Amino acid sequence: MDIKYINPFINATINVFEDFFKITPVVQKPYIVKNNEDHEWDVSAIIGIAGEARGAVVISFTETLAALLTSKLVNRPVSSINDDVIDTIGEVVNIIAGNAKKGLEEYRLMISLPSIIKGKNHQLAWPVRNLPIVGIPFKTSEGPFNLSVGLENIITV
Amino acid sequence: MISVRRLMRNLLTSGTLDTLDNELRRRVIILNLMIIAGFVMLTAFGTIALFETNVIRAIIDYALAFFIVALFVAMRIFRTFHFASYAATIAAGLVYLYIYFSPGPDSSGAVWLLSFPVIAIFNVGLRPGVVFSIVCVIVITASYVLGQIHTTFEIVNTIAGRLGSTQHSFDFVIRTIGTFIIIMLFSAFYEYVRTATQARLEEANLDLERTSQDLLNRKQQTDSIFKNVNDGIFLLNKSLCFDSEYSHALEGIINKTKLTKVSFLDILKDKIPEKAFTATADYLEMFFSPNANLELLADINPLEEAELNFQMGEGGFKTKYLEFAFARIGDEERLFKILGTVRDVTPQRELANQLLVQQDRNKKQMENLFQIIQVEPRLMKEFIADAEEELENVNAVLKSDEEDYRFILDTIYQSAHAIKGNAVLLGLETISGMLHHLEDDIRGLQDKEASWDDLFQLTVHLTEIQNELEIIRQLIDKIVSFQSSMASGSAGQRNLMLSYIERVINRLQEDLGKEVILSANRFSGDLISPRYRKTIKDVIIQLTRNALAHGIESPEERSVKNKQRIGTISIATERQDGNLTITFRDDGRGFDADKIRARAKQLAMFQNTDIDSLSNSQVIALVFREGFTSSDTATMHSGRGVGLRLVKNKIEAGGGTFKIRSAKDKYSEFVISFPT
Repeated sequence: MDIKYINPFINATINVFEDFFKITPVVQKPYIVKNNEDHEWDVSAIIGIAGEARGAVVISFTETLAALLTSKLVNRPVSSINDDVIDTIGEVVNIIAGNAKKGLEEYRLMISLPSIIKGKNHQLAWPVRNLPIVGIPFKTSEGPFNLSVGLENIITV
Repeated sequence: MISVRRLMRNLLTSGTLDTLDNELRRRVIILNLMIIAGFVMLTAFGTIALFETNVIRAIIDYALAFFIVALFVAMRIFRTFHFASYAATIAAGLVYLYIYFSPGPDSSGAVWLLSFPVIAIFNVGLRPGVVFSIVCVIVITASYVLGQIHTTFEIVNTIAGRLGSTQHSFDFVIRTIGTFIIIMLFSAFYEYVRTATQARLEEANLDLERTSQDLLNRKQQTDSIFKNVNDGIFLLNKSLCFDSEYSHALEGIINKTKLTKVSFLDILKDKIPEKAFTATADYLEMFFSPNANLELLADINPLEEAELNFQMGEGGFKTKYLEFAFARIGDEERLFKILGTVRDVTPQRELANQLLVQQDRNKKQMENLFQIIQVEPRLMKEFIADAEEELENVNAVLKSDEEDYRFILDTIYQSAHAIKGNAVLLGLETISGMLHHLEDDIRGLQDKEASWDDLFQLTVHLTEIQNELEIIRQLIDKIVSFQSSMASGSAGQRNLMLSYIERVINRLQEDLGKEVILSANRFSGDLISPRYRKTIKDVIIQLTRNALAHGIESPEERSVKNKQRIGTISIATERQDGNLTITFRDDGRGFDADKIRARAKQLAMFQNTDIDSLSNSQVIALVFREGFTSSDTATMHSGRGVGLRLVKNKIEAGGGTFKIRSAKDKYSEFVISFPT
């Protein structure tokens, strides 16, 4: 796993939060994520990555933060995860992915459209077994959210 | 209107419409025309004759009219067109001759006769028509000549008089025959030209048909090639859109149907990386430049081995490996097009990749397996558990609010070092190599302010180490279940800690060229309570490593010092006043206060300390300070200046204390106490 593939996602996340929500997320210390470990997140967006590295980038939110971000965009209060929230998170993460793409132009890398998973302590099936996964927590004035990245380098012929 | 037309057509073609060939059809039409015209005229004449009370003429006219109507009906029923043509022609000839000789008002019968060549030639064709016409001429001529014969033989005269005719004058006959022949010639000429033209036309038609059939066959062949070939074959026009002709397989290869006029670049977009996409657009553009170097173009094809990633939803991709080739068709004068072919080599590539990944995995697994299989699974399990615990600790710090990067790096370093020590010991080269790299990375950060990115990179390495541990754990689980399935009459639970220490000694003495024996008669693992197990194990292992690396001399050096060639490490456990005491002793060179003093003076960290004024025991205490090392280079076994500090930290973190006793060139001894 090479951090050059991940940094564009971190930067894009910060930029999009600043531009869209006027919130500046502060990146915290990264940590080790174990496959299938429990977590506190309620909704996650998965962006698949293929090409010279394979895996996924996952952005996870708490219900509170996801609802708050949505209400900021739709201009009315939202309290729980409904279709609006799913759509909003999908759209925001899509923009993040699009932003990150610019930073990844020099690599042979493809980024998929995000798909959304919700539910308390939802489990993600990472594309490859035994994938090293690193977690990158963000702190915002409105609560934390989390970016996890699992990538493996492809051995090419 | 249309029905009248259809009726006419039906009547004129005797109901055959378009089914006959052209020539016959034309004849049938003429015949029917003649019949109709003849019928009309004959009934008209018959009626006029009736009015003139010329009953015989009327009967003849009506009979003839009936005859040709019968012919008309017979033709429709029996379709005996040839017979009918001849019958009609002969009948017409006979009637005309009759009229000619009758000879009609003002000899007008001759006028009727003049239409015979036209009728004959058009009806029965050129040659028979001419023959009939000539017969007609002969009859007229003969009859005139016979009419002029006056011989001495009465009988001859009588016969000639019967057969011959004298109704027409010589001039009349000559003119009639002349006109007749001219009409015949023109008709014949016309018929000749017409049939010749017709023949040529038919030939040309046949040629055309043959050519179009040929083309059709070729088209079918091309179509069947396009339909059945496995490769994608296509043409791109100047705006890089697909032409309508492309092979069937293309749709399957690029997962899209109805490609005509679809832009090739639109297909590629979002499936290949941005850079490759731009390169491809530029590349294809070059084909349309009239002075493009086609050989060069073939060499720089950016899609020669393209990887197309098709989005499948759920954040997943379907990857296809496609080999594209492009060629220009057409020359400078004509419009250029690009002929493209594409082959799907996904199965081959996936297989090759899988094979490589599998090989790599197998190789790693075999390596791991070889490394693991030599170690008792209990030791391995303990190693994994300990390593995971270390990583948990690190992760706890990473997840905490701790912002002191120095402290974090130090924590990572110490944990990595501890895991590495055990990994080396167990011969797990992959893991220890990874940890060694990690240590190198952290050491590289020692002299500068570590950034978030640095920490990120280290964490990524940690996840990879964690992952590797997981792989080993899975392997061990397999081995353990394999072993437990075998008969389990094991050789008793020898104390794991001693096994560990023996391993350290065995490994290190080989690597360092030293000879050491372990004396553990006064060691009892039972005295060590579980809560100190890991701490004590880590400490003793570190001390053993230090003893081998720094304390115990090489056999040669020992001989020179009049010591036994083989060094001794002794470990003892003891319960004293409710405390657990562990004594670790080696008979090596001991702490050399002067040497430490000299070394300390070289190290930047003691620049501000007055080394010379310190007592010997104070000097020895320096060894436990961060960054102190007696070696200049780091090896896998020692020398990062962390060993003794680690000992100190571990003991203190476990709630213990320790004392050092040492005599130069004789021994060094650690007495470690833990409350029970």
